[in-house]
Amino acid sequence: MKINGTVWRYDQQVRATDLVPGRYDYIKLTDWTECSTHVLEDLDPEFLRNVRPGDLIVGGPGFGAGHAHYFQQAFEGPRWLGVGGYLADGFDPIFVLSAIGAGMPCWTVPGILDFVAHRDEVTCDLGVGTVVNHTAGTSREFRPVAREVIDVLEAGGLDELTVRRLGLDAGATA
Amino acid sequence: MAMTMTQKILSRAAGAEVVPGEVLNVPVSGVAVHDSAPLGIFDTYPEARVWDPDKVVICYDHFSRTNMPTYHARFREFARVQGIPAQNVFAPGRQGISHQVPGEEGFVLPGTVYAVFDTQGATLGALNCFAFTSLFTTPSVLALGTALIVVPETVEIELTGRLAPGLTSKDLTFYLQSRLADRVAGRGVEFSGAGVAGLSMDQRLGVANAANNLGAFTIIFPGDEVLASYLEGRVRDSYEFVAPDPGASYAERITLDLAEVSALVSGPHDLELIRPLGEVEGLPVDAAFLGSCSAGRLEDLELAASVLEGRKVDSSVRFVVTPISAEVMREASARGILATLIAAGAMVTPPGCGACYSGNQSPLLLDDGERCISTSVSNAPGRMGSKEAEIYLSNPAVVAASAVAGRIVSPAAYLTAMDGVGA
Repeated sequence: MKINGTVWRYDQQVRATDLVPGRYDYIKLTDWTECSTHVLEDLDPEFLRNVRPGDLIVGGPGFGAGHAHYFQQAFEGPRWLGVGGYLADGFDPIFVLSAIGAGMPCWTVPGILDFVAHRDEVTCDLGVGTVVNHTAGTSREFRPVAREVIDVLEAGGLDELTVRRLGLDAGATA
Repeated sequence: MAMTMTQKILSRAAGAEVVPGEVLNVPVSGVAVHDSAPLGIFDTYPEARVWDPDKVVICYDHFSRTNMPTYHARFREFARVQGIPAQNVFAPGRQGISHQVPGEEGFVLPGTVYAVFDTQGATLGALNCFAFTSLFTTPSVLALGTALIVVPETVEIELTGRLAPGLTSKDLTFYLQSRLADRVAGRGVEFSGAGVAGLSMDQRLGVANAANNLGAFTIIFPGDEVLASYLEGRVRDSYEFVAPDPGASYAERITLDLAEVSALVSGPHDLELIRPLGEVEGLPVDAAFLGSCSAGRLEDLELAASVLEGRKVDSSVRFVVTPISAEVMREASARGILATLIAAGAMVTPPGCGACYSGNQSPLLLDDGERCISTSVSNAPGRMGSKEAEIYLSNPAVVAASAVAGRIVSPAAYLTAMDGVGA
């Protein structure tokens, strides 16, 4: 399970409402196209102008923290833009499981802020536990992501994996 | 291996010793959902079935009022199709918040792993169990009976002393947030120490409720006589308390003297903006709310009633009270607490989340420029109505006293007969 792209690095804790401001309440609307037009708009107006599919958002400890009411928009909005994943020095424990459950790659890479600079090109192999910084020509290892998580991400989310495990899709694909 | 409570509970459920950082598909003992939970694969695949209908609890809490017909019908049909027993569906008459009712009704046992869809699912950790928020993974948990989790590192917080009279779990959790949030974020919290015994179950539930606000995975209280008394006559099965082993490995050990806690206020607009009550005293309020999963319990209502006894809510303030559950409403009625609140000029609503979240068409919808003092869980802009309204969070005594005064005030002058709520 590899993710690769340009890094958008934020040194601070990136809260759920930094990813999509809480003044937009998309859980009532689930209009992810419109939601995607507000990603990081308060923290970094440059982001929306220059983000490209595959780009990664990198932040400090406690990434995604906040009221879970704002979690879904915090990974659906960026995902709609093609954001490839989140890497951080640490995640809010409920946010990270929710995002993975929705199929959004994210994981803790200790010291990531020391290793990548804003706009570096990187490749992260979650299953192997490596980050390669192509811009700096360096690489770093971290504890590989467990198979249980890789299975969810490769299936595209926990619902998709559950459907497969229970054979619920057998009729649909026949 | 010497284990923490977290490790013991998860190891028992998983059938193997677990360590922090390990990823588990851990079997759960039950799942609680509320009326706005997504049903995901159950909507997409009509043939999908929950793993054990007897272990699913459905609570109508967010939409106890005007949205009831559409939201509730969806879950009535879900329960019918899935064979979830009627006694597990907490509909009007029995309704209450999804992370309160399963404890009241004996579905949650010490030593177990319990999943709750809602953000504040960790609340039930007051019952010496590993209770956590399953959020959007809930449909999968319902289908498989297992939850994907990462075993958290654990911080032990040893409590000493007692809370001062008139202070509640609101003040304690704001104190934790302002002093310790960076040390508990991303981790689990286990309480210990002599100070635990002085916290009632209502206060413990209020403390565990704050896990999400603290950024913690969950909060676990130890088992003791207070919990045993609460569980008596409620539990649906036998149980054993879980205690940490001597020498268990904690990421950090912290000691906290409850006597150091003072009246604190959070907000506006930012949960982390926490200040002594004195710094915001005098600010006029247009609305006051007592309720939510943070502080809609019997002791919270009782504390407010003790402030309001023989007094009137200021005519410039609309004061709404929402009991957390039908059980709490019944008990508050039997004890005359509701009568005191109503006589003072509060509007008491059906049990549930009440005005905490504007999306539930709360009776308190805040308008532009209004200011509210509330016991609820969030003061994010727009949470209770207009994004241009201010929400200050505080304890029930402060909310009730402020409703009387028409401005944020200390309840000290109203609490002369109080003996504290932690007893």
